[in-house]
Amino acid sequence: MDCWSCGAERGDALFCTTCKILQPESKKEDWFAALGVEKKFSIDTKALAKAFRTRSVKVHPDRFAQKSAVERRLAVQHTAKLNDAYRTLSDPHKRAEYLMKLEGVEIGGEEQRTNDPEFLMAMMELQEEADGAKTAGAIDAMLERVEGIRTGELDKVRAYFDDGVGERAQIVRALDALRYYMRLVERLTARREEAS
Amino acid sequence: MGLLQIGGAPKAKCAGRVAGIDLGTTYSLVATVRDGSPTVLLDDEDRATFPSVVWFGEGDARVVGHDARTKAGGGEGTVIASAKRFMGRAQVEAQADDELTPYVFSSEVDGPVVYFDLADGRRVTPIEVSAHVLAALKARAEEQLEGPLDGVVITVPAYFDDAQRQATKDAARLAGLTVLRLLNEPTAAALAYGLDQKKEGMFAVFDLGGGTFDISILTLDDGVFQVLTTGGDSRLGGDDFDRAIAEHFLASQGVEPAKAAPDVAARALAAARTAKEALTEADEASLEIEGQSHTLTRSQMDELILPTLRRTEKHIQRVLADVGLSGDELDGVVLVGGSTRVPAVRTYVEKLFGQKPLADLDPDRVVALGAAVQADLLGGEGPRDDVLLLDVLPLSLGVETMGGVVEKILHRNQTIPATAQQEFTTYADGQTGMDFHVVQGERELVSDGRSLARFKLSGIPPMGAGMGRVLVTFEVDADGILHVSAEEQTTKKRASVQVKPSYGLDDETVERMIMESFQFAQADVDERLFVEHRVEAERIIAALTRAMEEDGALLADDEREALNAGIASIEAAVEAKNAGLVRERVDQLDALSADFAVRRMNQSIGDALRGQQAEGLG
Repeated sequence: MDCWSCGAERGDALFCTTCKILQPESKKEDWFAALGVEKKFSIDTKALAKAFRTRSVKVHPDRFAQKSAVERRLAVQHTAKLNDAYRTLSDPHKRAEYLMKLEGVEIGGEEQRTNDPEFLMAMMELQEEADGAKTAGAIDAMLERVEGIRTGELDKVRAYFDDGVGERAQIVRALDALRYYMRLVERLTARREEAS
Repeated sequence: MGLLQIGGAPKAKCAGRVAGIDLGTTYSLVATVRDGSPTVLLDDEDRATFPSVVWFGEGDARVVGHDARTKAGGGEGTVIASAKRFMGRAQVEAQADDELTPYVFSSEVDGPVVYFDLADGRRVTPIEVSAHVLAALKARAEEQLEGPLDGVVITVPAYFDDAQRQATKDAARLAGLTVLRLLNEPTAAALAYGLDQKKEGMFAVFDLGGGTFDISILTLDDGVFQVLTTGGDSRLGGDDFDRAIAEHFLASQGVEPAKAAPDVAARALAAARTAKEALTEADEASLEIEGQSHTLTRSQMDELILPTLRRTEKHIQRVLADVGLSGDELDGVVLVGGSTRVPAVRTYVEKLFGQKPLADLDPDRVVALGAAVQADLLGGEGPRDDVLLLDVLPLSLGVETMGGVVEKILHRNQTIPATAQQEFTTYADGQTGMDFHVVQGERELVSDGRSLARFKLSGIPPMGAGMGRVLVTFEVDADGILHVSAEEQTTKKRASVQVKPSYGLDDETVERMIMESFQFAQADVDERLFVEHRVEAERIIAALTRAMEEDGALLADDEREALNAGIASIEAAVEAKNAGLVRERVDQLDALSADFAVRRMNQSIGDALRGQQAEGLG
């Protein structure tokens, strides 16, 4: 690859080895690579946070406030990507979805959406129960229950990615279900705030 | 602007004389970095704080700061204080507040901006009031730094929404200031505090000012200040303490607070504030309200302000839940803002967090000091590179979908700058335009959230229904302000985006205010506007000419002719010294050259950039 600014061969480096100018991000790089961590489900979140900060220091737009317009633009793009990568990988559910995406399975996509009547029925029942919880105490109890279910589903996801336990189709459904639970928690939390 | 992206201006930002401004509800300050350490600039009487108060008299008569405050509650003219409370709000929202108020809101105008009525019948917006305060601080800094300011960092409450941030930027523009960055107040405080005390770990910043409340949790690690979560209420502060006290005594005299005359309200509020301040040290204070003397004890005040103070609790619980910790697990709680001097506030914070809060730095000054440091980082000479701030978006942004439901595109507490992309498909044959409505907040229904703006896309190439795929990019910059761009995916043609903000002033109005001799004589204004536009025009022409020389091969003949004609038309407008026309034609040329800019960028930077656009960030 050639440097966009001076034209010298720069390899894959973030900064041109010749003129030291910031280069465009690599589109081949996945988010694990962007943050420099191993591509797997169980990761050290402290090390991930550290990697995020170390990398942000290098490419943040504040570092380029007095540089050329192209460099400032590139800095925003690098940083937006890092921010997105970190937000995704620091959350186990989003991280699992991203790993699936790298395997070619888009969670939440039309073709993946479950139409298993049993599952949908269970979700509707849970939803109805949640709607019925009016007092702060009832909402708290409901939140605790949904959190419990979520933890159970996440354990299945972990076992699949870390130890190869279970079928992919099951995990895709677990991830889909986790989306429902997440929305349910969001809604309950909002109502919990109103109730207090 | 397309042209700027192809490298027209090598150094658009300044290097040199910079300052940090804490534009507060009741007080404002200005600070700068001297010999490596931030310092607050004092006035002739060695005062750091500058009341955010403006008195408007007949004609151009105007007094700002300490002298304006002494005019409150009687006499000629009109005193406007706490304008920050009304930034980015609509007239109808301000009027709906059923409380003791010293303001006369204009009844004649109804719109997306608050207007105050002045005694002589004129009207002013909070943006103009803030601009007068900023202009005074600018003058203080320029006098002491011996020269014009190249740029400033202005602090805003972390919980300010897009409209409130934009209003602050507009005020700075009216005051003739170049804004390097809008910085969140608790983040600024953490920066000053962390650097001063050389602390590391996870901290909460409890920032209770005159009119706003913020609560943020940050990690400080090896020079990186990363905000993890933020919450707050941009209408909760010491002003509400004053109001509670004033309303109590007015009620005891048989005056219904919401119906009190503005001058009565102003005097009662001033008396309440003085008593509150005295009670920081004393156990008892006396105050006079409309000819009657009262005694206020500290415990009586504590009781009066408790309902206001309690409003902070849910925000605190929420940010603690965000990081999954209890208050006593944090490495510290930093107090910021003048209202944290009130002993009851300190006791309350200590109880909620289960630890004694830190107040090693002056809570009035720490925000301005942090702003000065950030200004130095961005625009100073030889800025330091061992410190970095990572801040977050305070409120989720979403797009209105079918049935008035909000689909979130960017989430609260996402680190900024942040981008998100979403594809929309055309639904009619030959459709060339598309509208969407952006809302901010956490609620599910548009009707419960707060509208940010309506965006109108045009220039989509006509295609069959469902064939046009428009990729819309939402980008929140480091100031926390949203920008939107769009491109049709089959033809790679950029759509033009028109923004209609739901609150605040439009660009033309701000420009007109500058014209209407905001702080300059009319001739100066015209000259300044013209120079601004001429410089911009020259920069764009130079960039475009160079681009056409280097990459002329990317242009078809008719395109080159059109661009040349555009350049000639700008030169003619410059010749005619017509500022408005220069601007209009620069905008036209910019739109005209956008495709060329994209082609050129793709070529010169390689296809990597395009890859980023097309790949999507999901």
